[in-house]
Amino acid sequence: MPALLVLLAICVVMAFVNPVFLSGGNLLAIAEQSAVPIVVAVGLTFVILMGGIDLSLAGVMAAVSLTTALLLRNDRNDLDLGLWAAPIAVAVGAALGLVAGVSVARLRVPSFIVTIGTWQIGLGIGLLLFGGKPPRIEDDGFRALLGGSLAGLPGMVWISLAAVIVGLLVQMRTRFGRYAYVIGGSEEIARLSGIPVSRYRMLSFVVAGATAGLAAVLATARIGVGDVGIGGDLLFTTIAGVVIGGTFLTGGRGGVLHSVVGVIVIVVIANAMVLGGVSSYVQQAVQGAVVIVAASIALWRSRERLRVIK
Amino acid sequence: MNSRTRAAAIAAGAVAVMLGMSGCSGAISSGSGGTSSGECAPEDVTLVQSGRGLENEYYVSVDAAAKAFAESEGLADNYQWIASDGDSSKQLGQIKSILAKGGECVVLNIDANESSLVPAIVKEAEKSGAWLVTQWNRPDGTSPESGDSAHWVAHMSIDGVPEGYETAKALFESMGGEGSVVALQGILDNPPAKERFAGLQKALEEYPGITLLEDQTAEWDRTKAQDITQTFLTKYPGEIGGVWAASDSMALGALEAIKNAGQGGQIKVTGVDGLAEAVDLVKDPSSGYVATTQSRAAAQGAFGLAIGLAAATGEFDPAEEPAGHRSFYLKPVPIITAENAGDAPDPAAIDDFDLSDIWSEVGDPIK
Repeated sequence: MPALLVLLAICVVMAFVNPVFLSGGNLLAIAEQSAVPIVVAVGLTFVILMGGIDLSLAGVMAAVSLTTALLLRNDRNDLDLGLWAAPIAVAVGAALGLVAGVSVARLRVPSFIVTIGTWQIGLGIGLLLFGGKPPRIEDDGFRALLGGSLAGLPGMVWISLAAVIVGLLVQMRTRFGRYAYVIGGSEEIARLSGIPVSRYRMLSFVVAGATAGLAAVLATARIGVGDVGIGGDLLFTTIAGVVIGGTFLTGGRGGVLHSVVGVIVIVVIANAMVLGGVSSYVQQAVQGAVVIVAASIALWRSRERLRVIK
Repeated sequence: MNSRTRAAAIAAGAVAVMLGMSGCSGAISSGSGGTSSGECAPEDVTLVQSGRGLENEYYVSVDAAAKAFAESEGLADNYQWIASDGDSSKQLGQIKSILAKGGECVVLNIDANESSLVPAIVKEAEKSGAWLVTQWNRPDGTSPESGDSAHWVAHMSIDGVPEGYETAKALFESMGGEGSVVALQGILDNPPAKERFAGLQKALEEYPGITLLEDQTAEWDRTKAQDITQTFLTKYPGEIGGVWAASDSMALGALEAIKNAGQGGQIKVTGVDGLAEAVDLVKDPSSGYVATTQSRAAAQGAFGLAIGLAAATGEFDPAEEPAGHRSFYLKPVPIITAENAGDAPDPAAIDDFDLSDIWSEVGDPIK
């Protein structure tokens, strides 16, 4: 996995620039900062494996973030569902994914445009629930569960690890996971082999919606308020991460583990730039440049002579 | 990414086309653009308030204050709010359709989505003879007083320098004037971000015992501020005594990182904006949240519309007003600290203003 080499290269460079990078405290910080985008990337991988794209992340997370905050004990209403808030919030994400999935698979609208639509729907729901002031979570137990330490790691890191393991099992052990490669490789062949393509494609958006929902629960617990802008910057991190990891946007190649490594690369770049003392004014450009370099290195071996790049 | 840049390109194209169209329309004589003072009866006036969107506490307060002003004038049914949602062409399109309906009796109080949009809005207002007050953003070198039109009545903003300076001083005082701080900046090319940071630097000059270890931009974002602060804490273990943030949402993210590192209350934090959550934390000295500023949302909503309404009804002729009434900062107000946080005014309340004197909140001219 070439993305691992990129990660290793960054670690070697940083060991000279600022040894703090490899300290336990910093690695823990990287793990915590990666937890949310990793959970998103696990679900997004299946959509991209099938050759689709899901841009609705910011909208789904807005709707779910407000849902989560309003279901837990908060300063806005009398609800106090505790742990039950999480599955309900994830279901909201999955429902938005279902809307996108049905539109793509049954109405035959390209996923690019459909998920821009569900993005706006999600933002709208988030706005409706916002009501003038961010609802504050007062359920400290719930927040401590995700932020507090469990065997040395924050709860949300454990949850992201669990998401990765479940994602890997789905990818390797279920029909949905195996067919994802076939559909992404060639939808025609999949159809001719009798695979119900549209059903599995629909399911991929539900999975992506659910993981975006779970990510929003984690992110909301982390900052402690329901926030409409909570997923604003994550699309860059996750899509760039998925591609650097070696999952083709054209579908058919890559996988959950690839994406996870790619996301970690992106998070590590941001962390390394702060530790290296890179000025804010050049960071954004440096980050973009590093992404292109990392993607070229990561995808170097896949430059087949007849592969079409759009 | 792809979708966003594409949308931006389309929006830019649309704005360019509109600019082109309004440029060409100079040949057509405009109905009432020539009159210098308004002749509208108050009941015929449409009051329009526009800003980014109601997912943001500040704009909710602006909208509430503007609505309260409309009610106080008996014009509640003539008031409307336009959300730009960060989309310049959408904002301009909505303004154009309102002007097409209401013409010279429209009063616009506009927080333009970006500086470069302001000339187009000014042009539209002039063409229909409407009355425009702008907030925060405008391109360098343009101002109501330098134009030859009375229809861009005034430009109002808030000086970020004293905000950054006063909160920084409160932070340094809480640290006993000794130690090291880190700074979280807003989006680097936003005027408020630049001004507030300049205020911090001014305060640093006065406190030789304080060192600024590093500044980074968290782009006004709460989660980003939390990530960067977490990284700062590992980079400078045990060194950081305070975090200066250019906005409350970033300061709240920083505070979360400090709490998770088990140093809540020991490392001091300040922000700017006067978000409700921040004001509550400032009330409690053990939180470590030392200071924020008062929100000026109410003054911006109410006085922006009041000045525009007075121009539309002919109470004054903008062309005759001194420059200090055409481009000005609102009067600075004291920052919020533990001493006065208990009686911080509601950011949407307009009862404490003297709205009969539309210039009562005018501070320094903007140069």
